[in-house]
Amino acid sequence: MHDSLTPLSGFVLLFNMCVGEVIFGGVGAGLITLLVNAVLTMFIVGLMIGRSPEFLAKKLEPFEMLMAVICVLATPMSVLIFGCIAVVTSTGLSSLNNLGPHGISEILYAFASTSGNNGSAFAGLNAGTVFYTLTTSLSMLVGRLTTIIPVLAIAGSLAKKKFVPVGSATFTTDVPLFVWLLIGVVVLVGGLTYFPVLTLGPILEHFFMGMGKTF
Amino acid sequence: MTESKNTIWDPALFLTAFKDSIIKLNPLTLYKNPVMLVVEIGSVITTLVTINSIFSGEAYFFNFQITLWLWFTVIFSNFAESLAEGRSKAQAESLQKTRTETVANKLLSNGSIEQISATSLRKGDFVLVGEHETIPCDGQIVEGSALLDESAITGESAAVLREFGGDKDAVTIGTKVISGNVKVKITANPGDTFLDHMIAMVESAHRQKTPSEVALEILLIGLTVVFVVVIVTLVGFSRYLNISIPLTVLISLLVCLMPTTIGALLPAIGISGMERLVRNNVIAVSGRAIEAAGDVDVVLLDKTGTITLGNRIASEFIPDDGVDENLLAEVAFLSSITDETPEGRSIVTLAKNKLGVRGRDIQIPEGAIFVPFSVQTRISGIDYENVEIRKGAYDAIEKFIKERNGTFSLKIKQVFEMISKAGGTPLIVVKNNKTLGIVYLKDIIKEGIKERLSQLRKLGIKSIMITGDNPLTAATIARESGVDDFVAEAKPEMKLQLIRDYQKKGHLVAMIGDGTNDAPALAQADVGVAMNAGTQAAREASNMVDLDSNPTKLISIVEIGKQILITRGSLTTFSVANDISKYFAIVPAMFSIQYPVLNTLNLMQLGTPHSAVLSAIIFNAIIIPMLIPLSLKGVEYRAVQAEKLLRGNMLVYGVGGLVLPFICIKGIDMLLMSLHLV
Repeated sequence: MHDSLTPLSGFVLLFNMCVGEVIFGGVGAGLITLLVNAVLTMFIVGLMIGRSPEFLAKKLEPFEMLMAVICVLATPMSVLIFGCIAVVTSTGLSSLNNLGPHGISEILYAFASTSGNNGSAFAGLNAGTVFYTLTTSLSMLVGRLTTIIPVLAIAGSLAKKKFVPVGSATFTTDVPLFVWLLIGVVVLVGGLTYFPVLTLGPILEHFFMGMGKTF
Repeated sequence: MTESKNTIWDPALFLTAFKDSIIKLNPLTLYKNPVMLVVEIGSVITTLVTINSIFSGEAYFFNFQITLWLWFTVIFSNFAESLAEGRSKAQAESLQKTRTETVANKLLSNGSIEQISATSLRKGDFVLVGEHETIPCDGQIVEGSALLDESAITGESAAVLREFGGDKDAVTIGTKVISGNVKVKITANPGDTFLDHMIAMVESAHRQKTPSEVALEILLIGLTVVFVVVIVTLVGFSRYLNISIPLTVLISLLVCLMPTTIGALLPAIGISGMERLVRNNVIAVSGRAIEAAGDVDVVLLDKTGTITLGNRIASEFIPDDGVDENLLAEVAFLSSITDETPEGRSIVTLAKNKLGVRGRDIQIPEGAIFVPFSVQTRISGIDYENVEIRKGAYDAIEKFIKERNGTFSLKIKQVFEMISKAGGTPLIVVKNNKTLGIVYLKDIIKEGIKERLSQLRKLGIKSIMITGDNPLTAATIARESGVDDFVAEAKPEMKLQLIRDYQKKGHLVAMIGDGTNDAPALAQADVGVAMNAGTQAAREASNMVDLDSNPTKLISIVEIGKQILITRGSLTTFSVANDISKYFAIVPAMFSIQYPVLNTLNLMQLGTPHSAVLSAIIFNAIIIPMLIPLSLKGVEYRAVQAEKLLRGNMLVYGVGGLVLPFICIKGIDMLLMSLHLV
């Protein structure tokens, strides 16, 4: 399975799940994260053009912001915390077939997938133990609920708000600039939260592979 | 207030701000800024680590330097806030000087006068203020008139006439009576006057956070929490790979990643925005109003005093067919003799000129009853014996004359249309049911109003002129001044209705007004700006007061509102974009000792792991004071299309924030290496 991918290919799979499935494959849930990232983008956009932020002709206020922040940041936090518990406990480590940086990839993948994807494994990790059954189940709960509840809350709160008419000072989202900014926010939020751990996982493994050392 | 226009680099201000920034290290005050509180906790930990390494005889120089720069980060942040506060306080103090101990002549209910201290006055009290005395508290003139020196609050040295009745009855604490005597009803308790509001506003303790400021703080706290988790879990992941990361390095990475730049400057941005407003001689009752000002997209302007030069002046009498001009002048004079409106006075003046000496001879007929102007009838005049003399607008007089079976002559209609088309105001004069002629009132459009209105349009704000004039007159003035839309024949209720209609459609409406009848509309508007020269009722209903009474001030208010948001947004983007380079400085430094292959990520080719961490933390600290001037002045706002504005700001603060730290960190690293500090 994925276990035999080159480190950088594994990195791409991991990164896609880590940023919240915003590109292909993330049916439903991917749209959720993308919309919430759009909320974050439009918040910054609003500030930078000197208007109190709005998205889809509705004002973005502290409540939407709180929900968006929970939605975008809770999953990475759960992946990192569960992953960390796994690598520091002997029970967690005993499931690993491969050590070194590849082990980090395997563990990260397990929790990223249960949190945001279909719960598939990178292979090479025996997830059939009590420890992994419990932790991955928990991460699944955290990952799903902290995405679904805040996004429904945002939807409900926005639906209640009145429309802000589009004027000449409004920034509309149907321009290329918005797409670039949205990509920027997705990559930046994902990148900043996962960069150190991805460095120790697939990136380090990639450099080792270049030196002829594999795990 | 003019003397308080201090610069950023006032040394006295600097010193106080520096002292203040040390005092603010107290975590009990710092908790209001959670981002900086985390930095302070980090600083305390590295301090302990450093002390420990000194006593245990280990190498401590690196830890010591990190600790130093972490403390600097917190101090710089406090300094930014203190400096902004200091500048505001300087403004406030110059205002407070006007509140010297004043003795008030309180009028007791039995008619006698008691001398009491101004501070013991209460709302609803009556005081007498005579020549060379100071107004003891905010109030409303209920008797008399006076020439006031308001330079203490407006900086304008020209004296201002305030009088009972009309729309100039408000007096402000601290202003001085040059001549005249007035009886004033106190409308605010001491501590609750405009000056107090202003002083409270500029002092950050009372500053209410605006919704977008709260939202931004949530984002910043969210990022801080996630970075704490990233760092803590990193300990576990790196231990698994047999990497041990020193505590000081971990804390350095955390501080570098946290949005410290914006976190440090956020309070300063808000305070200085308020201060810029005060510097423009505008008092805002809440910070919310300033932010709302940046969002305003519809503005209601009263024609009179805003678009046209105050009052209309009678310039000509045009008699009806077969009517002597002198007769018209005489009747017009009679109809206006008690009319205290500026228009009425100008008719009296013109009639006296026209009639020469005879003007003095006109006697007010005995038993005459004056019919004052009312907004509902829009007609005024005088009744005596069986004669009814009226003057008023076309439709109002038409209604009046129809009720008495009269009609308008062709000439009246023609002259009326001619004057209306020329943008003037025709006042039709009738005696019983017969028209005598028309008084031509001229409106003079303010100089430069057209440019200002086009500026508003560029800001995306639609301007709507409101006038009691007939549609023809209104259209002419609208065309000449360049307003986007106008409402003619408007009654006061219509302003309120109009604002509600626009608000229902989701617009944010600003309204500028001065009269008592504007008060409901000012209260309903999202941003209500009252002219200081206006009535007390208008001032109380509004959420901003323009001390200069300059209606086009709205443009500055809107710009300041937008500037605050742009500055916050730009610095947030800058702060987050900075993180990428810091990762590339610190992450290789943390891991490359154990795994030298990871030095490939050391894109900047920084000298040693220690110099990399130190360079990043130094950059992170000194960028704060470097950006203080920007956050105090605000990012410049240009009235261009939203997309263009965004692209420009993203280029400077987004891309700039990405690239600049790479260069700076490399520079600092080279400096550190050459000085052998690491």
